[in-house]
Amino acid sequence: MSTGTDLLLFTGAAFVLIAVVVYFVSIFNGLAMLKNNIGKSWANIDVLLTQRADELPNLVSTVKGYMAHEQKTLQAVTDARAALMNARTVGEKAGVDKDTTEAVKTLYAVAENYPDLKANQSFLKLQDRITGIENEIADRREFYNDSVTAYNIRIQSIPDIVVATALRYRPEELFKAEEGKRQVVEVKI
Amino acid sequence: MTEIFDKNFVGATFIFYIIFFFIGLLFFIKGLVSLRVRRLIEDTPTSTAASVAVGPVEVYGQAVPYVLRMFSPFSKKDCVYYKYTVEEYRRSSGGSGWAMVEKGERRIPFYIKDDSGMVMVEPDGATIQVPMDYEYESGLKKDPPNSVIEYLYAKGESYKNLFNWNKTMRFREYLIESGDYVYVLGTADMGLNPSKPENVVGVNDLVIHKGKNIKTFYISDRPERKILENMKSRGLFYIYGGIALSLFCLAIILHYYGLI
Repeated sequence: MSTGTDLLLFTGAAFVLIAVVVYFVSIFNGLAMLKNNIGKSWANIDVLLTQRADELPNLVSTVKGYMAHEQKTLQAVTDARAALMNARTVGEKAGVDKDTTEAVKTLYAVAENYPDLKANQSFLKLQDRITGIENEIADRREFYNDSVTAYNIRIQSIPDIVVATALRYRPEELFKAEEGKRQVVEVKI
Repeated sequence: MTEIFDKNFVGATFIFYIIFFFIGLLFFIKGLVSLRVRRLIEDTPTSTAASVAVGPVEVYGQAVPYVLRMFSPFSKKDCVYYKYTVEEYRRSSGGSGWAMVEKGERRIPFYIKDDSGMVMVEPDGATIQVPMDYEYESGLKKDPPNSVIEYLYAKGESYKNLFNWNKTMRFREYLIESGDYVYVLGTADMGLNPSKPENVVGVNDLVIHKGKNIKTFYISDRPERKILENMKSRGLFYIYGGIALSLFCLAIILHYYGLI
């Protein structure tokens, strides 16, 4: 082959090589971004879970005076908070989050039977704040789960799986309460 | 004489193919960039306006003007972005075709509104891709609409020639109208949001703008699926087209030098 043909083939090969390198770099950067997104969106949920956990003692102490005979309901909220503070993994936190939401909902439902409590401004403000935080958690949970799903699909697809395996990327857990993983809230009366 | 002509001819051709070789290279790079942005769009989950957090974000919702109201120059539509072109059909010995007389664009800050609330978008520096919304033409027996005539007079242009006959002109508008569904991929940050109007509630404190670290800032009035399809076909076209153009030009150059 002539020098010209060699040069032409070399240039063609260089184009292909550049495209392949850029492609793999973009896979690497894409996976890093996805992993980073998961971390960021989890941090956004975690901060809200902590904020809600911080508000629960205030809620319990506000309603305690009115609902002295509802020890079971109040204890459920207190225990849910304790479980939330002890939960470490995403799955554990998701399970406890659901229990906490249910315990707080029960408390609101029981509060309906106490007109004086329903008129208490502190209680109303706390109720508003906790409901607002719960709505934000719901919004961010959706975003977190979308991030995790996108990441999990990527690291199991070809050719991303090559880069993911080399980097030892593992599937991440969804923020979803699974029956087996949910912690049972102990009710002590 | 023939030798000099041939040398000039070869020289001019050489430069021509060198230029096109680099144009092919630029197409190739443009294709790679397009596919990179496509991947970024694909990998970024869509946030609701209320849950937008600091960092790279993607939102989809209706465009709502912030404080300023803006109207497009020709169709007078209430919009948050417009781009327009004015072209004239010209004939000459070298050929005929549409020549650009004037073009321009304007963008203003706007909100993206969805079921959860609103978030502000500061569109400076964004790549905005919208399909053409309106097209008007003028010809010998066809006047352009009044709004176009007013606009041309304001700009010191006319749709009539020296003989007071209508020129053959084409007026195009590309818009993001108020209420259009808009896709935005950018970076959300704190502290940039100007004071919120008092009557507006449910507005996120963050502003989506062009980020310092992630430079991609893309706005379109198409849904995400269409954007991805479009970017894929365009990216592959530029990559394959760029490689083909560059290799073809290189082959011609080498052929001139007798290397092939």
